[in-house]
Amino acid sequence: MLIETMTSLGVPELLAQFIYAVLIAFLCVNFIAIYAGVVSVVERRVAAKMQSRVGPNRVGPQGALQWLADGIKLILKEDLIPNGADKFLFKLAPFLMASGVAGAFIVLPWGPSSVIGADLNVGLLYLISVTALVAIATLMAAWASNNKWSLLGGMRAAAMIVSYEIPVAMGLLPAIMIAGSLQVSVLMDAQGWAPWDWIVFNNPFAMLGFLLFVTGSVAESNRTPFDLTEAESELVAGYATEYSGFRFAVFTLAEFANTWVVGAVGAAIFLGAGHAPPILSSLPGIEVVIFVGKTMFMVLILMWFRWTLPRFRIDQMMDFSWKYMLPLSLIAFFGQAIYFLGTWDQPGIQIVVSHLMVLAFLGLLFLFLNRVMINFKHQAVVVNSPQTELAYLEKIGKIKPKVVESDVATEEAP
Amino acid sequence: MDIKTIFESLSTALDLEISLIEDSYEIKIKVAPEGLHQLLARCKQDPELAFDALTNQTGIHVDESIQLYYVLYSYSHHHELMVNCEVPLEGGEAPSVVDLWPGADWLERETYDLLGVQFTGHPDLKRIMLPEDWEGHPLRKDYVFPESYQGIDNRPSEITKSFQQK
Amino acid sequence: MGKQLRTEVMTINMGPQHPSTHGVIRFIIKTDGEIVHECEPDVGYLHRSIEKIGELMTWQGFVPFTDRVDYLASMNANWAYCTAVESMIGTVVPRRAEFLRVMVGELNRISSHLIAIGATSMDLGGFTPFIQLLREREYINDLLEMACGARLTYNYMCIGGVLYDVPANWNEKVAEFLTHFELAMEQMNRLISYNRIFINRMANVAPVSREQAIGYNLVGPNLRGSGVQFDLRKNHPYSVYPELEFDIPYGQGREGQVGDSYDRYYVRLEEIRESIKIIRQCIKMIPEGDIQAKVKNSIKPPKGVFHSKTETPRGETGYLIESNEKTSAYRIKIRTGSFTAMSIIPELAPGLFIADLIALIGSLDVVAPELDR
Repeated sequence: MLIETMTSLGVPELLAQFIYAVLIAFLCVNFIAIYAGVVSVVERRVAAKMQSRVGPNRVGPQGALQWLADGIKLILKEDLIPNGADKFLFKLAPFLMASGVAGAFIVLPWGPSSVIGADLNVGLLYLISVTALVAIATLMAAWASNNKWSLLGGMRAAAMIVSYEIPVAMGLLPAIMIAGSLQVSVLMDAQGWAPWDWIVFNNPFAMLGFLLFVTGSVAESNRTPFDLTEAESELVAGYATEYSGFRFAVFTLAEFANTWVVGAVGAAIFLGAGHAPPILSSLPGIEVVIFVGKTMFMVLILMWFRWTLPRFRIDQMMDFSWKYMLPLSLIAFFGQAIYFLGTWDQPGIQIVVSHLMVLAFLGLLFLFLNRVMINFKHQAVVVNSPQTELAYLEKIGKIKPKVVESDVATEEAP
Repeated sequence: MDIKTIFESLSTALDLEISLIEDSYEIKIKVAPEGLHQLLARCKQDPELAFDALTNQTGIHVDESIQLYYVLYSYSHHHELMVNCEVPLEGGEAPSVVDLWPGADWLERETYDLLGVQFTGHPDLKRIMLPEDWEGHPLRKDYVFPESYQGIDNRPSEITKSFQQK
Repeated sequence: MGKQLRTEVMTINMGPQHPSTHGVIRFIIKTDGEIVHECEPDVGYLHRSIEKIGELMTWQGFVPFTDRVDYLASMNANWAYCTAVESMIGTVVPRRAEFLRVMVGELNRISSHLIAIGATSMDLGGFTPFIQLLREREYINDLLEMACGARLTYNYMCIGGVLYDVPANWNEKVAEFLTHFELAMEQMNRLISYNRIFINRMANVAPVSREQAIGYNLVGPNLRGSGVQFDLRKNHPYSVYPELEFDIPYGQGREGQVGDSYDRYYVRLEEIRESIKIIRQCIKMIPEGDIQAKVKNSIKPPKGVFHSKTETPRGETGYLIESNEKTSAYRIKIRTGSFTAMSIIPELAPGLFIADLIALIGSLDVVAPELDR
């Protein structure tokens, strides 16, 4: 749209496309920078809330500007390059990782299916390929640090990323089969606003694909429970040991930006991106709000994983990927194909199955909320409550028990 | 089993010179360093005694000799025994019991480190608590704190000296 | 082909400072990057010559130093020393003091095990249980602060009893805390004990057989985790333990072999539940009365060498004390559970992953102050 406007004003086509590309890249990179900062503060507050403490709340209202303080501190640090390190690769690695993640942003939607940076007709394939740059950047960082431990950590990280690419890609396959295209806007338009129109509840194999996609993506972004390569208490500080200051900030930025990519792809492909119910569809910008809401929901689930689960060991991680997730992803793929073969001319069965899936999910949600209520009841036993003090003082006779008005009234009634 | 009964069975089974020490607390068995290993091996392997754990092992510097104490415990019979052995202060040597109880390894290293008793047959007798190049054995009664260690001044300050004057 | 691809063995240092709560301990590890070939602990970074100080202090004046022998379970460390000296001079501790000692000792056992469980979980990557368990430990610290005024190194016991009496409503507060704590403990427990990832990290890691455990003289939960049903509080009871009813948890190979890391961890968890039972019984049975026996100002135990053992959270702490009938001891030797638990690590380490080594050190519950004294 922007390109047509510019060419109609007389700008040559190539220049118009170039300006458009630079504008999109500028917007994406700025979004990544601000988003990574803000979500780092959100993560710390969410983690603190789960751990019965407060988290950063000094800088700015409720700590919302903490990321500015951290960013300024990291920029002002000394830029150390270790002795004997490969200078070019050392400097290139963080920015290569960030560009790999940023490159994924241009095929992500922002709400309505028409607002996509570049609506490639092989959008998902491009997405999966570009995020593989992260593996190259990891190896580059590990090698260029001139440190045996970084090298080992980096090789482990690269092996892990490469082996978890397969479940991620194959987990997307059921969704691609349902929509019939790799183009992101087609996938978004194949869904509706109601949960039974979402791809994730279409049939059990699509749900399996969604779970594989989420688990694989958690491993891809090196988050707990798959963060063996960054574990501090395991004496190997990972591929980013020798990085400090701003270069380390770029690594962290790439990791947080990856969470948005995971969230956005999950929301767009599986969770019925942006489609608003008919009552709300007249509000301006409602699709953006719904889409961002679903993405942040996925990001919060990733944070939930990180602060609840302990981490895997390296051999357990590789076992999990090759021995469990790969067969499951094949089952998802073939199951989806056979399901389509069976129900291609009977859309009625597909509707029934999707409604049943929604019912099953609501049942699980109900059980989960029951569990949460039990937790709340357990918290109701308060330590150091005033009741104990008052009961004790009554027992030893220091104060008289309180007479409640309503009791006296009922005694007098005949 | 009663300690006197243990003593009877040990003295009949072995032809070592062992005696009893009776002070205000438990009775202890005293043996010379040459017969220490044989006695402790018998304590461990005799099914009546079955002392399968070495609970404590230490030394005490008493007037020109170091008294070694071994406290044994049996998890099957639930009885305890203390064995005493006297080694001379200078160049004192005692047999190591690591082959009987693997846990004696670190206990003997600590006794060597802090008191200076050599244990013959120990796989790797070196200092455990103090740095490798420390001189002297601190738990001896005649130990004098070094003035400096690797260039770090160790003399007590004026405030410390004012506390130490009695 | 496999032999030609063998990588070189590197020596690395898990240095005195590391982000675990075990304290300043150093491990020199020879590894090829994944598997540990050899692990040698280097201890002594926290050596404060407490045993030598015992020869300078009076018998009563040494009690605060025993706090620092194990500052995570300070009440029990005090108790071990006071029991030893009281047996030497033949004092009878009044009944109320005995019950108070049991109550604070068991509360401190709970808080020490909470740290052990939490540190294990944090080493394995689950940060949340550790911080939530610290919140529970804060309540225990508050209770003990009401009793003696300190939060970590209590110096609450003295030769002949306890130093201060508890406030009048302490029993109710303890009962209230225990009601809350049981439920909170279950909440924490569900986060880690039945978590498949945690079980996979801890089960079948470094199993210690019964003979190995007894030969290396492991004590306390480490020994019970290998299947030996032995607890000083039941087999050689002291204080008022003969009147209290509780069970001894021991390792039964819940998720793997008997004596692996999960068993040792689970024994500590069960011991917390048993301690809650003990404290509840004490709240019902505690009488009024004196809190300190009459002891002379200058204690001079008879000559001789005495050995006594008590059950602290990390095992049995043995005090071998020689007295020369002077006002200070001639020699005090403290033999703690962490010391021998550390000595088994070079035996178990070869063949483990580095990640397993971390789980092993966490499950053995080694703390530096007990190790080095």
